[in-house]
This record gives sequence, structure tokens and C-alpha cells, in this order.
Amino acid sequence: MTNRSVILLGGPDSGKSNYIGRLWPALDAKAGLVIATSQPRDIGYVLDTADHLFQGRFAPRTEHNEERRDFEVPVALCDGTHASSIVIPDISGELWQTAVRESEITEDWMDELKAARGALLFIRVGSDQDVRPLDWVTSRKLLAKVGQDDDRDKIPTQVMICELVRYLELTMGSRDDSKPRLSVIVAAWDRVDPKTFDEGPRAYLGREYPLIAGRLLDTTKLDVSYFGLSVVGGDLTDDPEFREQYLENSLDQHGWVAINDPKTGLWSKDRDLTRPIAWAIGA
Amino acid sequence: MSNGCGYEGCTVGETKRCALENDPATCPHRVTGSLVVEENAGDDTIDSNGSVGSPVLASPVETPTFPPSTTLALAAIDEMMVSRYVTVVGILGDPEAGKTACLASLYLLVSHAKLEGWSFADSRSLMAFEEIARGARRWNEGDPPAQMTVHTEMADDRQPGFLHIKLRRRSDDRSFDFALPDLPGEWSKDFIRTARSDRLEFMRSADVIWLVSDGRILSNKELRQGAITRLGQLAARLRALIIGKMPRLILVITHRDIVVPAVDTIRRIELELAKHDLEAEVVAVAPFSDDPNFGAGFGLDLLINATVREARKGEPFWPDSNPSEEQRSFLSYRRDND
Repeated sequence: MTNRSVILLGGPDSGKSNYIGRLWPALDAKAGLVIATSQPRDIGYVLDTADHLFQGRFAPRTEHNEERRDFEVPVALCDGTHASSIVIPDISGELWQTAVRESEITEDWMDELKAARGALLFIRVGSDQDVRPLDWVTSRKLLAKVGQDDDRDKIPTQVMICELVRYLELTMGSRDDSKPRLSVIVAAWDRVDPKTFDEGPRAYLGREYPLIAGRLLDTTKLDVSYFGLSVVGGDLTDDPEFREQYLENSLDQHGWVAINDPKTGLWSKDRDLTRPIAWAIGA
Repeated sequence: MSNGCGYEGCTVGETKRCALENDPATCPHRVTGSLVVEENAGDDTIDSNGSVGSPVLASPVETPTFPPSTTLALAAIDEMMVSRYVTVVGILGDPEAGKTACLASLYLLVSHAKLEGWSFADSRSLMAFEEIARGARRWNEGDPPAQMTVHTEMADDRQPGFLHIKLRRRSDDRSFDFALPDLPGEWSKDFIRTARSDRLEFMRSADVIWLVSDGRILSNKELRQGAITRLGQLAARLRALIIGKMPRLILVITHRDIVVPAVDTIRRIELELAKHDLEAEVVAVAPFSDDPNFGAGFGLDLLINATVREARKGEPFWPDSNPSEEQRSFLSYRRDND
């Protein structure tokens, strides 16, 4: 059995923890592409995160400076082949932010990046932690009225993600064996309108984060696939009706991944939340 | 607390007298303190209470670093050119002509997907672009600064720093790598006045040179003659610096939102350049703007188009060697060998 680690990257509030919380029940249900072969030794952390979802709330943001927490689970493909163990280290978005600002990262994370089998990159629709690029090109007068604000010194989200992609290229992308895979996940995909849904996450990135879209199109060191993600299939915070209906049913019946059919080019919802992991580990 | 004493507020270190009236040699606080030191010394642990031989500070933890994406040195551009074609642009112009403003505006246009016909593909110096653009983020209580970008100063006064950006052309999906130096205007000034060209030697391998000129100065009757003359002198210096094929020149006139460059002025510049057997294409730009008719970034797409328009063609690999009928090749051959 091999150990394959899958790294989760993304800024603060990009949906990483909620995905892990939802992923364990999905692996355990043994209905997807990737299934859990046995119960992992330590599931305290995922249970804590899933608890928020069970109670009809999204998990709060991962606190800064917390101990690193790995979620390690023995998995196999649904046909029983490719038995391996995936290690998903959950890193707080702040850690990635600091890594970009200082271009420094601790030794053990550097090792993780170098050894990683694949990676999941998270970007969330409508996150309040999103830093937009400076926009005086279009609205200088407006900016002059607003004056100084705290966001001015922050690194725009798209610049940060581009740097993270560069780090991936420098670490796991520089290995000689097969091209590592990157699942780009746009979280809270249930919030976009039907037209955006049909165009897919890639077109969405092209419009909202042109630097990220261009960068991912240009990379030759990573094999990129795009997914839209909704961990529970709706908004637990602002939609009381949905929340009520959500609490009535079990978690297994909620949540989907938007995937692209390569033949027709159409985007559709798929109940199997393990698909981004399946892609990243090369299945 | 004095050296070696465990009691808070001990005065022996300063006054040589104990405030508790203990004898410093036998004081239980001091004695316990030194015992602790000895114990620790045995464990190889680091303590900071001044015992002889122990390190004063813990050694810093070395964290691995990624190569930063700041401005690139010439060597990095060379290395990049080994694997692919990089369009090297020379950017010259008086201080405050708007050289850095053009670069910042270009970056911000691509980060909003607003550069007509082009999209972002990659940048090896993303943080450097971000830093330049951020110069414009520091506003003085809501007042836009007179200058949108910070005056360029070089950490290394002898080597240019390059910004790299790779753009994809929408019309044919081809991508182009650009190496754009962010040079202080003083370098151009020194080059014109005293022919200091050691740090501008990369211009010899440039594909295109942007001569950036402030449109406001070119429309000011008192100042324009000086500016035109300086451009002429700059042309003469370039002629002397560059041996062989001259890079194409593009005259970039900034502040298009405020003034329209006069035809007469442009003609005079052309005449001035023609004295040195040079010609330039003219592109008027407005990196920043308050005029809705000439939005910020006006003309930069044209500037990029002009920059790549005729990426230097190499000599034909197999030149046509069919003899033409009138050519007396055989006679020439004999003559050459005589």
C-alpha cells in the first residue's frame, strides 16, 4: 500500500475545512469513485468539522497558529484497486498567505509539497476574505473618495493563488515522474446563476480572476481539472428554508460536484463528492 | 534582577548591596539561581540568565524559501531566453515621463482582463508588478497623489531590474514573453548627458525601444523644444551604442487624457530622429486618466500590438539559391578564386 498525500491549498475562507468535513462521510458511504477501506485511526478532527455541518452550520474559519492536523485515511477505488492511503493536511489559509508574503514555508510543509501526489486548490464564490486587485484603472475618482483602507496593503487573492501555483510547480511539479494533478475547486458553486453554471468554473475564473485563469492555462507542469463544489447543496447561513429542509435529511443526500462531460462539454451536478480527490490521486 | 539572582528586583548588580541585606556570597536566591544554571548546562538546554558559555540567543530556525518573484536580473532573463523567445523591450525617457506608470497600468489592465486582445499567461515577477502597482495604493487621506507611481530607485545602481510578463494574444492564441526593465529616468538622463551606457548595454539585444515622453511637456511651448532636442540626442547616443541592426523605436507619448500630441510636434521629433537615420512609430497612451473618453490604460493595447508587430525575423534558414538567368555565377566564382 502506498502513501499518497493530497495537499489542500487556498486562502482564508476558501472552503477547505468544510470540504474535509464533508469528505469523510462521503468516503465512508462507499458510494463514490474513492471509498474508505477502513476507519482511520484519528477522525476527531473531521468529526469536529462535520459536526458543524450536521447541525446545519458551516464550519467556522480555521484558527490561526493552530497545530497542523492531518486527516489520514486508507482508501481504494470503488473496484477495490489502487489501495492507498491518502493524507490530507489541512493548512489554515493564513499559513498560505504568510508563505506568499515571505516566500518562506516551514521545513515539514516543504517536504509535504515535494512528496505530494496531487493538490486541491480552493477558491470560494463570494468570500468576504477575497481581496480584489486595485481598481483605479476604472474607478480612480471613486477610490479618491474612499481614501485609505486596510485592504491596500493586502496581496490580492489572485496574485496569492498564482504564487501558490508557482510553488506547486517548483515542488511537486519538478519531479521527473508523471505530471502531478491539480484539482481546481470553486466552492459555493450553488450560489452562481444558471448561466455561469453552464459556462463552468473555468470561465468564471477567467472573468473574476483573470490572472489565475491565464496562469492555469499556461502551466505545463501540472495537469489541471476544474470542479464546482457545493458541500451541502445550498446556503445554510442565509437560506432558512433550505436549512430546514437540509436538517430533515441525512448529510449523504446533500452536496454535489459540478463536473464537465468531455464529450458534450456540458456541466452537470454529480453526487459523488470524492471526484476531485479521485482526479488528484490519478485515478 | 542582577546576574545569577532569582529574586525579582535584586539590586546587587547595580549597587553591589543587597536590598534584603543578605550577603551576596551566601544569599539563598543567588545560590539557587546558579544551581539552576548548572543543572541546565548538563542538559545542553539554552538559558539566557547569563551563565558563562551558554548561547545568548537561540539559533534562528532556518526555513526553506522559494525563489521570490521580484524583479529579475539580466542573468535570469538570459536563462529564460535559452528555452524560448523573449521580447526584450528597452524603456528610456526623462524622469517622470511615465515609464513606470505604463508598466503599472499594463499590469492592472491584465489583472482585470481589460487589455484589449490580450490576456495574462504568466509572470516570473508578479510580486514586483504588485509592488509597483501598490505605489498607487498609498493615498493621502483620499487625495490622489500627483504622481501615481513611486519614483523608481534601483537597489543596484549598475544593473537593470526586469519585469517579466507573458501575454496571450486572443486572435491567434500565441503567447509572447516580454522582459520590461523598470529603469529610473536618471539613467536616461545620464546616458544623454554623459554617454554613461555601461548599465544600458542590454539595449543592444533589445527588440524594441520605447522612448517615453511626457505629452504635457511636448505641448508646452516653453518646454517642448528642450524635450525634442533631448530625444534627438538620445537617438544619437543609441546610434553610437548599438552596433548592427537597430531595434525598432516606438515613441510613447503619455498623458493622452490631458493633451493630444500636436502633429507639428511629432513631425519635429521625426525630423530630429531622422538626423540620426532613425524613425519611430508613435503611440499615444494614458496610463491613468480622469477623462471617461480616454479611460485609464488607453492606448496600452496599441503599444503592445506595436511592440510585437514585427518580432524580428531571423535570416531565412535556407536562402533561395537558385541561379537567376542573368547572373554570371560561374564567372564570379572564377574571379573570387583568382
